[in-house]
Amino acid sequence: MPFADANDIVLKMGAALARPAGDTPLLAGVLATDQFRIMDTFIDRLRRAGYAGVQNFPSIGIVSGRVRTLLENSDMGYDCEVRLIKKASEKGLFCSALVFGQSDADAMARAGADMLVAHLPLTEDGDMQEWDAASSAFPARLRADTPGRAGVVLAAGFVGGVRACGECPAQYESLRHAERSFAEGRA
Amino acid sequence: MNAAEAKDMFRERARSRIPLTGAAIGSGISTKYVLTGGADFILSATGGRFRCSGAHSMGAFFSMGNTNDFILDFSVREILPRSENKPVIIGVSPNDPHCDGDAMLALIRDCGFHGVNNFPSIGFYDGPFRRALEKSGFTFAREVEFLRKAGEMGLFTLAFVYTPEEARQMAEAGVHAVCATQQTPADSSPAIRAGLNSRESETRYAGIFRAVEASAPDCVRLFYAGGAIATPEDVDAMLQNTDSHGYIGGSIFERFPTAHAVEEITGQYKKIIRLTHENKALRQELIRKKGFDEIVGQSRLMQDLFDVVNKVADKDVNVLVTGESGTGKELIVKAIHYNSKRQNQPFIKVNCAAIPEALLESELFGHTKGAFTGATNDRIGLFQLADKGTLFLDEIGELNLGMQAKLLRVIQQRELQRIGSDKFIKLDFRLVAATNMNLLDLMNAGKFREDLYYRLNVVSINTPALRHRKEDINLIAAFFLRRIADKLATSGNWSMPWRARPFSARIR
Repeated sequence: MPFADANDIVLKMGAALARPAGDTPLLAGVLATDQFRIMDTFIDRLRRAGYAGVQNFPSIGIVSGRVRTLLENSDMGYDCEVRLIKKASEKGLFCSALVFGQSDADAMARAGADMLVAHLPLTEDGDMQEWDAASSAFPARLRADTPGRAGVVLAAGFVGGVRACGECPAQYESLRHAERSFAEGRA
Repeated sequence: MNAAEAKDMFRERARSRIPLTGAAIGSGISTKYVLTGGADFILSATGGRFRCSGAHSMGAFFSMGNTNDFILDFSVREILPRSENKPVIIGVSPNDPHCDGDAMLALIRDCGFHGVNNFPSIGFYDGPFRRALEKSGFTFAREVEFLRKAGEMGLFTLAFVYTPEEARQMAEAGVHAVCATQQTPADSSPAIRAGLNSRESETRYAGIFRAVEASAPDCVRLFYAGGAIATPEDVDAMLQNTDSHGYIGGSIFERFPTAHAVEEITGQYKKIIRLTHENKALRQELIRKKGFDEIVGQSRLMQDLFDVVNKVADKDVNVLVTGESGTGKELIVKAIHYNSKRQNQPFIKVNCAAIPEALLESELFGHTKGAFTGATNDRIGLFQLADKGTLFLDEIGELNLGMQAKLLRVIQQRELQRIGSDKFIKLDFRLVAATNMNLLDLMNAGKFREDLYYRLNVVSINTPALRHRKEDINLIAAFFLRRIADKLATSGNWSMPWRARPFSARIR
């Protein structure tokens, strides 16, 4: 939402967090579709601010409907985030990629992401059962289909925030189910 | 105009059915020119500012800054001062968590804005993401309430709506005008726009207008041009086919024409500068080919000589070039000609020593048929051939006194008579003469006319012999070696000593 400059905030947070973080890696959430910054130089600034890596956050992956189509057709789509991860990876930063489906995961893996964070579709009321059904085997399948990644973390979108749920349990039924839910969400 | 007058203007225009034209823009310069073009009101919106920044207007919906701070900043500094008493409506978002709606409205009124609008609106989003926003407290209802309050405070209220339901809510809240809009790529490429269907927009907008009319028949109904509605004809068709009172344009005023004009004009400047550059380069090439770069030397004497040639070339004065044989007098004369304004006109060389005295007059001045025995045709003389160009009289010291007198008359009068003719022919030529003789000595000996000498010698250039500029020897040797090498490389059928030593001896 257009109420703050996300990248400016994260840059300033770097200065505040780097010292308390100590040896714990600090990742910067970067709005890759920022039209007023050159990502190449911005990544360098993040590194100087104390960040060890980046993540594509806020991501347009959670935007759905006609607006999402519009963004994808206007060079403000998910591809901007893939380019961010590629550039950061080339610069040697740790790259955590929020992915919303298998095609996102493939693109991010090719771009050099060190970790894929499987982000499930938004649940409108935070109902875990609904989310469990939607999530299926997405992370497990990601691990199988995009080998060589350091780790896969499952995250779920809730109204009011995103909660990281740690390593995915194996009981999810199928990746197809999750992707179908995701596609429906987009439409 | 105050807010109340703005409301009256909108109401009156809606009643009289003269379509309203609103411009959704983001800079002072756009304000100036849309008003010159006849816009009825201004909607100051961050989308316009994004366009003017070269960014996509959809950036206005994302986290690149605080939209309300952003819009207030440039609207107060750029748009209000240039609004020429036309209504200015400002687009703000009451969903900003940092925003106190009442304080914001008071600020808007105190700054001098006539009205307020809900841009960027939550209505832009749809699908699960929209529902998630609504549940998180970012609501369209908040926008409705904000505009209702704005109306109560006396401000003109213009609501962006995306659906008939949103239109109904806004109309019932008493907004003064509703603008039907949609999630179309308003400023996307022509290829994307070509894929859009204006009938779809028409149907969508008609549904919105019906909802407005049902709830508030007096509410002004506008639509947003863009996407499939990208030309004056498209707008006119939409006005004809829907029950609307006018429209608001953003990219159609601010981006498409500017992009085209800037691109076109830059190209024109670039083209003409490139052509001038190419022309200059070609002229330089010509000059090189015709003598100037054949004058080899870096010595002080030669530098001075180049300076004089450069200074004198463009001045239309007679020049006398003196110097020993083989010091490059002719090259200097050519350099003068090809660096002068006459470079595209004839360069005529006359070797006064090589033409028999008896023929010289006829050669220089021409003759008419029957002027003398053997004059079987009219003939144009070399002076006339040099008209508009340069006449180079080499070995001028060889002229006899009789010819000198005739020459003097032509130089003074700039006109001549062909032999056998009583007509005078006006001429425009630049005269450059050269000699290896000392004209002063000849003058003192009575062999060269003093008046002619001073006529010829307006500027004098002396070409120094190589013995006076020994520092140039290496350069000159290299120059001739290069010439010989080029000749050897291109010539294949002469007897060549194919071994290195005889070959070296040959060159030596």
